Amino acid sequence: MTTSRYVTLALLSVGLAACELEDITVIDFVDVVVAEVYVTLGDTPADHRVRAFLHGTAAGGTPDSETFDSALVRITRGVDTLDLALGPVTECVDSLPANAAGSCFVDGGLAAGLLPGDALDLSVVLADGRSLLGSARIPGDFQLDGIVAACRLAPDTTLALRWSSSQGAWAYVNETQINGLAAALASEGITVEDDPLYLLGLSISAADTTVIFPSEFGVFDRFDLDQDLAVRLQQGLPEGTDALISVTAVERNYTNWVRGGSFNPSGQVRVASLRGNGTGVFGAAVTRQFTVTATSTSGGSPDCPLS
Amino acid sequence: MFIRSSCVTLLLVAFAITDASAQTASIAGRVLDDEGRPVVGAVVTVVIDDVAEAGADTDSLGNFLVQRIPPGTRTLRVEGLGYGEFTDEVELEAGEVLEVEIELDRRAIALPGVTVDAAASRERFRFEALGGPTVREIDIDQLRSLPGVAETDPIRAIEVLPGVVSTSDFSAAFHVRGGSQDQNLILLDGVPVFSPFHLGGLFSVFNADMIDRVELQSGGFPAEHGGRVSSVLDIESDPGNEGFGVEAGVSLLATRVAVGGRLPVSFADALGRSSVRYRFSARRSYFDVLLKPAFEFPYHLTDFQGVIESQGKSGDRLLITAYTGKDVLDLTRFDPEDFPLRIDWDWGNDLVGVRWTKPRAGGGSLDLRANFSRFGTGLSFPDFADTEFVSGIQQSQVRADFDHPLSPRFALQLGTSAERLSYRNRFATGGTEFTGGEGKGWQLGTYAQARWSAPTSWLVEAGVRLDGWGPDPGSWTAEIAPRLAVKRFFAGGDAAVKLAAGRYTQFVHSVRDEELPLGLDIWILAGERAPHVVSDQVQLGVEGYRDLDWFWSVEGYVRTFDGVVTFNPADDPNDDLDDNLAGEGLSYGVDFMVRKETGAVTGWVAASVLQAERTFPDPLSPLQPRPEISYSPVFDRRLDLDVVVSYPAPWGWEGGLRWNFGTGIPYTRAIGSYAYYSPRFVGGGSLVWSGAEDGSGLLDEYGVVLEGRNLSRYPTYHRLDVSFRRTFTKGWGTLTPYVNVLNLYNQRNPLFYFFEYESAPPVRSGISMFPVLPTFGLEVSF
Repeated sequence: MTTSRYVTLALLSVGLAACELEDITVIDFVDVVVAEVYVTLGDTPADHRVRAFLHGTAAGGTPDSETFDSALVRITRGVDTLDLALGPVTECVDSLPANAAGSCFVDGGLAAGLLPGDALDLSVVLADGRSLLGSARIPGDFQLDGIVAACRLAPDTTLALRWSSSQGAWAYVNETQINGLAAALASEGITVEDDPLYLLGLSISAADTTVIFPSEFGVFDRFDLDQDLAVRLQQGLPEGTDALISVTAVERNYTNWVRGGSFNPSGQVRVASLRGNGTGVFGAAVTRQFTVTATSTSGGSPDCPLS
Repeated sequence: MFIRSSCVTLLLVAFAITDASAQTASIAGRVLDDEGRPVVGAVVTVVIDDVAEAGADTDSLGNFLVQRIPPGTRTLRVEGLGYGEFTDEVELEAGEVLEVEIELDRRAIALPGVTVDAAASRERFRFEALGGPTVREIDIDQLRSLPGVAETDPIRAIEVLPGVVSTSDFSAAFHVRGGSQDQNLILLDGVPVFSPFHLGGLFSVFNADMIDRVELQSGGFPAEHGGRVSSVLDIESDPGNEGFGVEAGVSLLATRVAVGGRLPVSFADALGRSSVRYRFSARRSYFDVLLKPAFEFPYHLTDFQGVIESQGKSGDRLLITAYTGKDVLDLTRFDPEDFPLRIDWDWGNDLVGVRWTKPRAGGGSLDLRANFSRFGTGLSFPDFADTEFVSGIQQSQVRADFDHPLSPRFALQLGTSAERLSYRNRFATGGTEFTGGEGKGWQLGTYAQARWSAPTSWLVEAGVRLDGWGPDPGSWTAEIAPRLAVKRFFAGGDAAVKLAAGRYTQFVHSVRDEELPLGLDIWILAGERAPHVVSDQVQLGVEGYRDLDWFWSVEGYVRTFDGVVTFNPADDPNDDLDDNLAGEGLSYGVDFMVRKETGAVTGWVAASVLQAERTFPDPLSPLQPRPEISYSPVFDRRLDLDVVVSYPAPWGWEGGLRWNFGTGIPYTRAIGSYAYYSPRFVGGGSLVWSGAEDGSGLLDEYGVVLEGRNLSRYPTYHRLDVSFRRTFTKGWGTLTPYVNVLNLYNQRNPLFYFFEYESAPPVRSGISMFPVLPTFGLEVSF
């Protein structure tokens, strides 16, 4: 659906280039808080984390410059309460627009007690009394079939990943960071600008528990990615590269927020799961992660399971 | 159950057509013009001692039946507006049914200041003969005089009719009286067409060289029509009426050629037919060929259309219609440096229909049809075999209709149909199916409709339609749809008040996002994934003629729509059946029309006042039952005004003019925006802004905060289009150059607004619909 939308917009842009309307200054706009709160359970309790990033809506060239350091961000599970603490923004966000700001709240290690399947409630109360409320259920536990923390994959071979179903999951987010592609493919004349290269794949619904690595990763990058590289990766990883791979079960709120809603020409419509004086998401996920090394030399990591 | 109902229907017909009177005589026959085409609405009168004792009107095939005539020598008189009068003496015996075939000469009738042609005659006949439907017709001459985007477009032309709303210059899709675009039944010679548009909606697929006339029933349509709830757009092919001829044309859109003619009489005779006429056309856009030496233009369209009409010696008619067309967007041949992702996208319709109409000796006709129609689209990425974007629907249909006048005042129409529909949609890539669905179903329908008339006084039509729908997967359902129309004439039959009420049902939906001005329909069938639509409609109006050349009408209506669907933005991927939200709709309004039908200057003023609403449950609400959200749909144009004029321009040119004024349509305004951070889980997890550091980003990088759905409205829309065409007669044929200028005064009507709150200062920009757009073309005929 995303692809057809791109094509439609591309056609529109080409066809309508001569029909631009004059810019009019907009003087009335809303200033609300956007809360992006994610609960992520990793392979071990030490990997569990909760992050809440609170930022504002853009206002006249100063995007998201507002901070909400005095906010109270609280997650409850029945009678248990977890108050998040203010942390550095880099704990929440890897990159952000120039001059943009926000407030990051972290769990401080207190998320270790969370379990797959937990039902959680979120409240965000700002210093001025505005508040946001939401609730989420962490997807059920799941395991990758035959995969250990690291495995060896023969070069130019694809890996059929399988895992058990996660109860309550709406989708599985399949991600990889591939290292060493630039050097490995230089001899083939393929230029790789990003190293590591990040690629995203999806498996939709709790029952869709397979994905082919790496050919089915990067489906949303096919318009932007160098086509020689994209086509090359259909065969598998080249010799001398390695990849960090994660499979993450996500629930309703995450899925709605990420996939977007109906068409609006001004930007992406995100389907919010928070209600109150603002917008945002309260998402929950369970993630499994491992590494793959593409080498024809056996003897290091065990071989990845091939079907 | 339905097959049994159909058998009962047929038995009723057989019973009904038995002539109860053997003491009187009847005259059955057909009225044709001097080119062998049926004359519709001619008045057939039997005169005894200078007194008109009995009479009848001819039907759409030119057939008539006059019954209960006292035996003896009688005068048979036939009159049709636009034709010369026919008079003859006939000798009738008791119990006899005299069969005659009458030919009328085409002749402009000179009345003070008025010239009446055959088209005007047909309009008047429809006014007198139809009680319920609101029918508006545009014939080919009017079609050609309407300014078009590049060439004459039969579907775009109906935007100028009352009750019809178009939301964008870039789409020929239309909405009728608050109905969605998928609620219009579009027929080519009676064959349904699902998505008759090229270029994502910019042009219709119909080649005007093949069209005789376009008729829109915008409401109150009778029980014979099922399957759609909002309107019936009937496009009739023109099989030609002369010898071999060629029409060709070139426009900025495409080149086209149509070839038509009549088989030699000896050949037709060998086939057992009295005449066989045909017309075939081909059309192709040419920019890809023209520009090929310079660069690859990735798009082209092709379509082929054909019609064969054969009249039998017994008066029967066989009509065969076929169409196939395809749009191709081929991005696979570009230089990879310029366009790295290779895409091949095509879409199109295919249809074929066979129709046999047999006039019955006792009057009326039997009409048998077999149709097949399909629409499909496919998007492929040749480098990535894991991708499949396909959508398609197809329909096979057989139907039979009986039309039988039991007396000059009372007629019965009965019919039955069986349709097989199926669809398949699949959008999958990267090893996962994002959305999809498939299904099939049987639709069995039968109807009965009675018509009673007291000429120039009363006309009553009462009917009932029974539709059964058996989806797979899903279970059978049935809907009974009664229809009633009453028309009371006054002012000597020149004006009438009419009331029509009825229930209409529909078992297919298009789930295309109507907020997008361009796009393809994604069809689904009613069943587990979506309910069927039930629409109750009432309309009340008054209409009439002043003299013979002015027609006027005022008609108000109220419609409810139960079972409309929209896509569910929060559907659960674990539930295959919640992709769509089911809701309801309401519309009401008033349509006005004043039309000058005859003379050198013709045209009309049409005004439509509309209020439409859609209501759906809020899929995001945690409350149960979910609260409902009501909003004005994108086609809720409160006032739509069209002025259409055809006039003789100087120096022998024919001028056409259309001015359209419409209040703004609704849109959902973005009232704020925020940087959108993509969550990543791999490598520890974090949020990532994928735009540039300076804050510039594409659509994906910013999320928007929206006000309530469709709470804002675009400014008033208005546009003036003009056209000029002139036909030069040469020894070998005719040459017709034409010029259209769309949006003559370059009004910038917004298509979209973009609200950019991340810029300094925040601005609203946008893109407009057509700027001033001159187009031209040339038509050749010989």
